[in-house]
Amino acid sequence: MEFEKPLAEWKGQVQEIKLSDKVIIGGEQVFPNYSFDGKCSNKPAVAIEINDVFPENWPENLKEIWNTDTLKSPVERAKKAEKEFGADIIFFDMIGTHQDRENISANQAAENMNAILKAVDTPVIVRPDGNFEKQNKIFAKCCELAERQIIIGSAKEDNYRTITASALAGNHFIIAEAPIDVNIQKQLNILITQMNFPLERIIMDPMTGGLGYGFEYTYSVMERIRLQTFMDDPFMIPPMVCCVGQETWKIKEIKIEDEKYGSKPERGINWETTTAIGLILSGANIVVVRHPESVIKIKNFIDSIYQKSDCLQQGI
Amino acid sequence: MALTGLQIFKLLPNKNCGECDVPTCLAFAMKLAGKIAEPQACPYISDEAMEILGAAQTPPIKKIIFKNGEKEISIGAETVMFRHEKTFVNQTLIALEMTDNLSAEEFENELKRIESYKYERVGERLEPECISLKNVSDDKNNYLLKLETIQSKTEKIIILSDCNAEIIKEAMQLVDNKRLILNKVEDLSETLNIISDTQTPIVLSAKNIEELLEKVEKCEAQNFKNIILSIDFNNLNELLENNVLLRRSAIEKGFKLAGYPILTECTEEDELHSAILGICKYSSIVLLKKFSGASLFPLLTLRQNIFTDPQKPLQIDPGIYQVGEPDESSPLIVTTNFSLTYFIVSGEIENSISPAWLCIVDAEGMSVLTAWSANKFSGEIVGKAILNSGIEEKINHKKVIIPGYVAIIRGELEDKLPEWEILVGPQEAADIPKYLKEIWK
Ligand code: B12
Ligand code: SF4
Repeated sequence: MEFEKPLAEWKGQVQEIKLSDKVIIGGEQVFPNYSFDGKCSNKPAVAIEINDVFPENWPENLKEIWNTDTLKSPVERAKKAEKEFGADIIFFDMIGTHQDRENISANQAAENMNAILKAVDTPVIVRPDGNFEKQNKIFAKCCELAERQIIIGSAKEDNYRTITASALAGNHFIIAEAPIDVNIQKQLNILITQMNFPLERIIMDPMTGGLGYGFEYTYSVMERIRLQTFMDDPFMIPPMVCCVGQETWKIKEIKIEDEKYGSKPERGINWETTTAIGLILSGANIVVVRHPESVIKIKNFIDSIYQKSDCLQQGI
Repeated sequence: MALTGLQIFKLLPNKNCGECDVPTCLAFAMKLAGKIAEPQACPYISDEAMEILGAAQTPPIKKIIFKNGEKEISIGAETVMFRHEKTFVNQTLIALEMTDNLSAEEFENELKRIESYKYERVGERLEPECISLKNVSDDKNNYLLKLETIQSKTEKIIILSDCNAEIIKEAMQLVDNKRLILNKVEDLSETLNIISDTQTPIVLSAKNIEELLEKVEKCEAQNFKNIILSIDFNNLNELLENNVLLRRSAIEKGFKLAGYPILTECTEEDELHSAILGICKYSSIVLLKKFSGASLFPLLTLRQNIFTDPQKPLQIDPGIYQVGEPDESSPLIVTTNFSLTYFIVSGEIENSISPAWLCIVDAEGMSVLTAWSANKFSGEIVGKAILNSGIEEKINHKKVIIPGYVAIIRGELEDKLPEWEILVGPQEAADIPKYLKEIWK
């Protein structure tokens, strides 16, 4: 029997961004791997999260992996993430800069960042923590002193000016974060570009609700953002990043001790993997995770789903 | 295909008598188009119109209803491609495979393991609904024995897999037909003869869409209605393509042959992956072969998320709740009526030894911070909720604990409740037991 494939006709295209010689994201003209509809372009990238200070609040079975004698410093952890765990991108989350924590200074933060930039070849996402005043100082310093191009975040609706100005001057990429909201996201993209920042250097963070903790909102908002992209909305073309690990490893469900829930480490990995894959299916171009096993599983998924299409392999 | 309001209007009597509870036929037509009224509400509607409207109202994907103990479970009946457009209606069923070549004891143990996978999340019960019994032994008596065990020890829907007509015939005597699905039958035409009266749901499988549709066409010609579709795939890309194209054909093109629920047999190597894909992208049943609590629990949670109605977050009624058996000196804790928030907070209070009163504020089903930013959990609103709750008659103190994340509403709340002491609790619910132990003596 003849079957006429009901193909969708999309316009518009996700901005393709070359983060490094090896890592290119975006460029698709269709929903995640709808290769039957049109061009899929680059595979999603998997990033691993590294903190400037050791994250003592992580669950034991996750800490174990990162807290060995040879992995005492962030630089060592970043190297391991790149060389052995296969991270396409390093997500350097500087939790230690928060004024209520170690209160690491802007200068020191920039130094820490440069040590990472030197140690790895991957693109690096840099994100400070703290109140706006503190973050602004760090945005400025990091963008000024970075020894190569970085991706810096996060620009929010009420805090985008300093970071945009800094990233513009230093020729860096920026992450634009909106709280699970299509309209705010678009508004933010417009505000940033009104400062003459090129849209081609923006990555959107639609904010990740963890699986069981608002995941469905993120999932649908991302689908709606991409519907707008493919209806040719010029301001909704940036690729998207989802911080999956941070929303996964804090929840109660992965800490329950009971046979019917299966082994704890495996459950945590599956939880992180399931969240990441769900978000890839709704449009994520970068997923940020914490567990090396999750990286393997997510990459297996990506390889299997991007098999038939003309997509490009990350890291080749 | 859905009709527009105007198209429907042309089918109505145009009497404008108002008996349908709206003043005019046009208004009624609009309600029908919006699917917020039933055509039966107009007593004068013609049979012909009824038929057309009935057909227009049947969803583009066939609904199949099963019996699961006392409950009914349905699959199919979907109407949209994206969940935000309306909602995904019937959640993907999760089926677990058993083989009949285990010893009686092994089989019972395996069944026990499967039955243990029952969870509670946010007030909902999560569990796999189906067991697929695969015929490996090719020994009819053995197969039927195992089938009997499943049917007597569980309430799950049973998928008969890899069976010949003879086994199917006897199996149907054993098990209620509303609990059965036939999958990978050995001899299709013979099986169809057997089920022509019972309309037992049957899975048609094929190598590709064309081949599948031919089978569907044949079955439809013989008047089989309870069809489920299944296509083999070599990689996840094929699974995605088949599922999307079938769903699109049915929903966007009104192509009837494609309008049936889909069953996905997950491949063993990357079972989790195909199951995730199936749940997100249009499978009505996913069949797992290697499974454990560690994979089922996240999958069931994913399913719960994908199939919640995007228009109304799960919420509970506002008011005063008791956690444990509080008395007049027990603490009073306030939070929002978002189900997730409520269940986390009440769960943590249960973990503490201290019983408590929980005041649930109507925050339109939003989490603490979301509600606060949407101005649904201000000091003003929380204060009013406490005053109107009648809690003052139940307790002998005037202290209330608010969530740490909204410490900022304290001042406003003090203004609203001048005689009260406002205590700011920890940010995370997990710290409530420790907090109560320290401050509530
Ligand atoms: C999912 C989500 C949404 C969903 C709504 C989900 C819902 N039903 O509430 C949607 C997309 C609709 C949404 C909308 C908005 N959101 Co919102 N959202 C989230 C998100 C991702 C998760 C919220 C959640 O479900 N948390 C889980 C529940 C269980 O948490 P909880 O209720 O706070 O309960 C915890 C604690 O508070 C504690 N607790 C609860 N009660 C009590 C009581 C006591 C006594 C104690 C001690 C503890 C305690 O226990 C729980 C577990 O520890 C968060 C970010 C995040 N990751 O947290 C942002 C977030 C809450 N949203 C935010 C914002 C700004 C908004 C919007 C205003 C944005 C907009 N679009 O305009 C709107 C407002 C809504 C509106 N106008 O309609 C901000 C709030 C910023 C702030 N600090 O005020 C957040 C923090 C995101 C951010 N970082 O910017 N949001
Ligand atoms: S009851 Fe029927 S005839 Fe009367 S107004 Fe309603 S639609 Fe028209």
